[in-house]
Amino acid sequence: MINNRKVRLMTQLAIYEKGEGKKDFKLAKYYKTDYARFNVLKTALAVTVSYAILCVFFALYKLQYILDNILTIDYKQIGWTALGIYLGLMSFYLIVTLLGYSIKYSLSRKKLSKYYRMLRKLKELYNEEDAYAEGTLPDDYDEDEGEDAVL
Amino acid sequence: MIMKLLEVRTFLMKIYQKGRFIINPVVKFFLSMWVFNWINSQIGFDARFTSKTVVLLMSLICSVTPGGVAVFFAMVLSLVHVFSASIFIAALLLLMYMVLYGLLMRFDPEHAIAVVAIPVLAKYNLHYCVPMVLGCTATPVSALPCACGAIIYYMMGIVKAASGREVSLKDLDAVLELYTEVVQAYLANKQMIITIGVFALVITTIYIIRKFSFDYALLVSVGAGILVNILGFLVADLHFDVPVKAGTLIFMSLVAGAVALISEYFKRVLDYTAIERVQFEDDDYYYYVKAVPKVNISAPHFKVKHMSDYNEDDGADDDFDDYGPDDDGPDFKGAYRPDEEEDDDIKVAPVRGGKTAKSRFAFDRNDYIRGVAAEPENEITYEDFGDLDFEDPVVNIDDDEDLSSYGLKNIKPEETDDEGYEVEMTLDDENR
Repeated sequence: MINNRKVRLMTQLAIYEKGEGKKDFKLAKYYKTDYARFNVLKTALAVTVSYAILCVFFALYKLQYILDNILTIDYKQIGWTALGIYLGLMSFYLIVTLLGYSIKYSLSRKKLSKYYRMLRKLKELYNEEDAYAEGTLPDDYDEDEGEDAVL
Repeated sequence: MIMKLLEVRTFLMKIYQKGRFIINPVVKFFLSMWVFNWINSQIGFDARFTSKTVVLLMSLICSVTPGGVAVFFAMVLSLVHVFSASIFIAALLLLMYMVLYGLLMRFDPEHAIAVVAIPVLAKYNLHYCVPMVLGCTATPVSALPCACGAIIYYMMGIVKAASGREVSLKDLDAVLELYTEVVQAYLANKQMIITIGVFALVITTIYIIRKFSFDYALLVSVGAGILVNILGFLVADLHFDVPVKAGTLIFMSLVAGAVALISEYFKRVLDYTAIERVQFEDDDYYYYVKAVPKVNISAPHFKVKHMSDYNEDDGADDDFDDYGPDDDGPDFKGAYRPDEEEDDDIKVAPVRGGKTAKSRFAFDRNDYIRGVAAEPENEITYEDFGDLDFEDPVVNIDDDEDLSSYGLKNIKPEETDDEGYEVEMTLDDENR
């Protein structure tokens, strides 16, 4: 005989696993700090590459000026300015990324903990089935009590 | 009015639930075809890629793949067209795409569709819809893809103009001149920066206000969004001398607000009405389950109350008397639920024929006595349950089988010290 409560619970679990659970499981492989750091690293790389491209764009735009004044340009000053802008941009992006991905991780964890709660409930149902099979079900067992509290 | 809207929504939900597997690809197919045709009309330099066959083929692929693929195809198509006209501009465009992805797009790839939606809709002045809809349905992070869309829209115009010029890569001076012109045209484009700023402001305003819990927060937020949109562009017009057609702006902002409200209203239709088909297994069965969400609003349910001939047994509250004090009864969605405040609104209608109506709350001693006398005695019956009522357990698990391989642990009946209990339960009891 099919246990309706179990099917209902397993369906909920399967829908989660098939849908948004996929992302959450991937995230669950990391600790929060590791996940945030990993994404910060990726962001740092992306920002560095993008900034380098923008610098090349700017250098090409000012190429005529550079060629005309190749000997008199204050390279040190330009270097410090470029570095300052880079550090400013980078720190902005890193702070925002750190905050953003930490929040994302926490939200994912909440969903995952709900999933584990349902899994525990499923385990209880299995135990109940076993107990029923062996005739050791408690006298005050209420069949209607159950997954509604969890879901 | 609201009930009619709800019925329409339910009707659409039902249609969508049934035809989701057909509707989704068809809509995607036409949308991607629209985008590719727009790119071909704007920068269709390579005749091979403007042919109907290529467009149809790409749209067909996009119809069955996620939205990000359509954006990628659009990007590749634009690069191919520009490449056939000018290799240098194509290289610039590719680098620009990389910068846009690295700095903006990678933080919100889910709303990548905004990147192509803004340039395509801008032709009809409908691009104001995009930030409004995103404000209603997404977070302020979606301002990033919006900004990308605006940059690409204005970039296309510049690229279109620049690609027309034939420049040999060997002639470095000519290449540099072309490049300088492109960058200058780009930097001089104040409208792009203003569009990005206003769109980000609209998304943030709508998001913040709709998160408040006061009544009609969503309506207010969309209203505020419309106001920010109109004022933002008008101020830009006055302050930065960017030409804006005020009439079109106001009208299209209102249209965009309406579109945003409609999209919010039907958001659930697209998000949550999906019928899920899942399969899983346990020790005994394989399950192939089709889960249909209970999001339907039931058809209007009218309950007629005859107030003039009130009988205690007819009271609506009685429907819920079967449930205990802590139990609210079954959770009927959209069904009639009596509510405490409702009693204040009950008006007793006079009976026709001049007879005074009896109030529901009026106490008549004679009626009460008659009622008590007529009440039958409560008969309490007990149902007997024989042992045969309990069937043999269906789930048979061998006690000796090791269940740990299934992720379960073996449970065995606890051994009790009270041996007499066991003895009493045996059939040999009488022989003792």
